[in-house]
Amino acid sequence: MGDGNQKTGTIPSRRDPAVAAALAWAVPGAGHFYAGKRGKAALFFALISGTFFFGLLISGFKCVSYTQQPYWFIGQVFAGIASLATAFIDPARDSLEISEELDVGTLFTTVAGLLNLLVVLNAIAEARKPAQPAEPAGTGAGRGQKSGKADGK
Amino acid sequence: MTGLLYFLPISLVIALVLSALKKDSPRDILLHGLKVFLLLAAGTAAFSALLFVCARTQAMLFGFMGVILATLGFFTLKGAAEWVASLVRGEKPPEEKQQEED
Repeated sequence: MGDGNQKTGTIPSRRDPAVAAALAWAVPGAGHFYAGKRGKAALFFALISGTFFFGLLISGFKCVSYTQQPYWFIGQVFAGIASLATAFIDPARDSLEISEELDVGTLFTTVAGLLNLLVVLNAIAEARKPAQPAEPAGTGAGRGQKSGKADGK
Repeated sequence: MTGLLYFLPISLVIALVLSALKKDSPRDILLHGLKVFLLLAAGTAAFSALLFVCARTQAMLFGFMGVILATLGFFTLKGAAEWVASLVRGEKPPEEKQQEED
């Protein structure tokens, strides 16, 4: 352990940013779960996965297609394993009937992918943050309110 | 016009995710998310109205898609550029720097 860490009272993070990035890409929110931000992880999973699957449902699972919509697929692929799995099945391989439902589904899935790209970058930053120093026993009450002041000193 | 019915949920999702990336407490996320949502709504309405005047075919839907994708593209590129710049310069990311200053 370096002297700098002892002076600042921080502990180097034991979380690997590459693992956080991979997890965050594979399953939205998993990177934050790995970095210890479980509340945010649940929020990201619900919002991004919900948006992606709603887009799939509304378009009849046809909006993710690297053969028919290759440019949209670049954005969709960031939504994780689900996008790759859907593209592998590729129900729109033979024909793609243009409709408003397809447009909206494509938009939803692409937005989910781009949002997950931001979440991946944030998960990397969270994993690189140094761990907080361990609190002495018996000081757990009111931690959320007092920690800000304690850090400021 | 039915496409516009999907504007509200997706704008709300975008606003909440962007706010959760910036804020920590649930109250701050909700308040900041509301501001981002209103900004998105205003931008979409303005852009859609402009398109609706110019070309009436599916103008509202295209306006909606344009604003949403432009907003997301901007934040994605901004986040990626900051991250890459910090790696290139060998510095810590902006968030980490701010935490150390605090």
